[in-house]
Amino acid sequence: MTATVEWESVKKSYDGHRVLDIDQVTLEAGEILVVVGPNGAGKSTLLRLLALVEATDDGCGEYRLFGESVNKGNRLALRRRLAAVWQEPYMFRRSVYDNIAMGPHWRKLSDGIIGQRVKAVADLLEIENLAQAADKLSRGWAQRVALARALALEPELLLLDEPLSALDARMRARLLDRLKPLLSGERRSTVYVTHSEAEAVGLGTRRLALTNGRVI
Amino acid sequence: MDLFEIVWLTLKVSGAAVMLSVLLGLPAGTGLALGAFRGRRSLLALANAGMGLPPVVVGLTVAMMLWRTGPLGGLGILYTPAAMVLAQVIIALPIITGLTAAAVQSLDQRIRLESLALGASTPQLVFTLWREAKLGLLAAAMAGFGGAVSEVGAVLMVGGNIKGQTRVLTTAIVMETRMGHFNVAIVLSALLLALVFFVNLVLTHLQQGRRP
Amino acid sequence: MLVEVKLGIRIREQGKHVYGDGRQAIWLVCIAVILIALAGCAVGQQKLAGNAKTKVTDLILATTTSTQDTGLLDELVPAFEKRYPFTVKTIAVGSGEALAMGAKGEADVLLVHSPKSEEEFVAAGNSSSRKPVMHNRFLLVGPKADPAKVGVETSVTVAMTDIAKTGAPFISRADESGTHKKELSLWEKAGIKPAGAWYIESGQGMGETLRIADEKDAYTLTDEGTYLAAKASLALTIIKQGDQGFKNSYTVIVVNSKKFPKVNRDGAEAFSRFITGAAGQALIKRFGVKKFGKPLFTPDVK
Repeated sequence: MTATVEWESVKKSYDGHRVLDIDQVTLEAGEILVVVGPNGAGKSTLLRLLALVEATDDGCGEYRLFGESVNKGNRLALRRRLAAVWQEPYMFRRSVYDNIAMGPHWRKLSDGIIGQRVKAVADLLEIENLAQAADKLSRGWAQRVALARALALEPELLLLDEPLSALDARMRARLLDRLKPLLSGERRSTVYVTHSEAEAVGLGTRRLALTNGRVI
Repeated sequence: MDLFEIVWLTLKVSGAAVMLSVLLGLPAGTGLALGAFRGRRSLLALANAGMGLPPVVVGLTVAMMLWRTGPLGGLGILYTPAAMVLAQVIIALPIITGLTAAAVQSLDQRIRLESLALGASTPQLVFTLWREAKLGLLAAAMAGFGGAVSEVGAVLMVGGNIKGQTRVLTTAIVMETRMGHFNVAIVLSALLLALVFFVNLVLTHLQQGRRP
Repeated sequence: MLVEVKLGIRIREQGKHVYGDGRQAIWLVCIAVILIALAGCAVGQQKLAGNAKTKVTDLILATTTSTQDTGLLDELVPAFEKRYPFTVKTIAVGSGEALAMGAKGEADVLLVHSPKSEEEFVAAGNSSSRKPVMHNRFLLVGPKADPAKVGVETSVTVAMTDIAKTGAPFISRADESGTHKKELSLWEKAGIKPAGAWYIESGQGMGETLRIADEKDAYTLTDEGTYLAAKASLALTIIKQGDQGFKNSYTVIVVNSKKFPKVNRDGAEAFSRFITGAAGQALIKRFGVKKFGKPLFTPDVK
């Protein structure tokens, strides 16, 4: 089966200062890759590069995503097969419902289907009040909505950057339980960044440990 | 003197000028804010400098261009509302472009990240940015309208304040004052104030949305 | 609006705010479309006027502020437009600027009152015809108190000398207009070079200059027409009038279309004929009687 992600020689610098220099990143289909490391190790940067929202340095290797080589022409199409949850998610100034529906709406899905997906994902993450203004939510709730946004897209690749970090331990455990079966499967692979060893252990054996932009 | 005609022409000319300036300035300002091309900074500086462009200089330049002997004389639009719209666009466009660029640049950087990661295409991203920047953008529109509608010198030079053809509130006020008809001038001034207030009321309402 | 209503209903049915703000965007687009369409009409009308089957063309008339401020043109121009297929664009700027526009071919016909400058204009070959239209008088106006005591003088020259000697404030148009040129010629006759804190140059039209003189209790030279039209709002009174050297003559000049091919020759000649013809002259003779009790101008053509 083609690997979901195959990338050799991943390099990124900001203002001449190199923040990432990894020889190889691989994610097999249907797997979970856990990325660990201290703060500032470059984990979020790696995720942004994988999500095709930031450009790499010149001299990087070829990025093969879903078996295709990434180029200018297929960036949008490929991006629409993945979804990301960032560490500090941004809530658009609308209702929670509208936030979750945004991605599907952009893909021109029908209102009926959007309604179904939003409901399913809201039930899963125990989000009840869909009409409230999303930009006023606490960090914990915002993270849940961000997760809902990503899951509603039914992506083939999930990129999660510490998605449960703002929740209390009990909620975190509960949601992780519900989430785990969705992270790997027939048409689902995940890159999961975390700084909690406990979480990492629970997620699987494939691991990428980063320090100062390099794999140790 | 037909009051209605003058007010209506004022609204048409400045309204058209602002609409055109927004149509051109919104994408231009956004491009300047988000783009990464050589000369971006200089272009932005140019737009910002344009905000301080003295309207009367604009008027003289446009008039000279539209003279029969001027480079655009063939258009034959001197002393018509079209010339007035042109002058007002030149005045309002830098205002709207500069303020749009500022509004978009001061948006949270995360918006772009989130939108792209959720699968937004470039047009979808731009519209999302515009929605999130609504406050700043409508302020830009109000500033542009204010600049255009309050213009006297430029509009007088390219329009000629011709009765029934190019006479708007501002030029009429100057003329009536000059002729000593103070009461008329005051009424016209009140109408102009009311017009500006009303337009800004509508725009503010759009800007603030549902918040009371 | 139908679209908006349909959207509105769908939104309510679902009970959720599914892109309710789409409504707002539709509103904005409607307003934008309407305004642009209207502006298009405004521009279109102008173009149409130029290209319509009835061949109505634009005629640029450059004239002085006094003919506009008195309201004379508000009557003359519509009367002309009724008879002839032209749309007159009256640009009231002052004789100096009007002649300058003519000298560049930027105007088609001129109505000015600055004899010496007009003669220079004709000598330069810029005119194909120059005819007298009407006249009235120049007046020396000033504060009722008459601080320079010039009301008693019989000669203009002496009056001007008195003003200069006592240093009473005098406002000059200083804008190359017909009135300004007349004022300068009077100083010349009196052998005085006006300068000093008392000699104030406004650089503006007759209406504004009268206003300034009013505010500063100063003297100024004005044409009779503008003064009478503005009299009601001024405290100034007539100090001297009627002297031989005080005649204020207006002429109509057709700009030379051979020298400036873009000039609307037919329109300019039609206007010149009209204003010196029976209809135009009769209108001039009557003008002002109802409002001011006496005609503001005396027609020149018998």
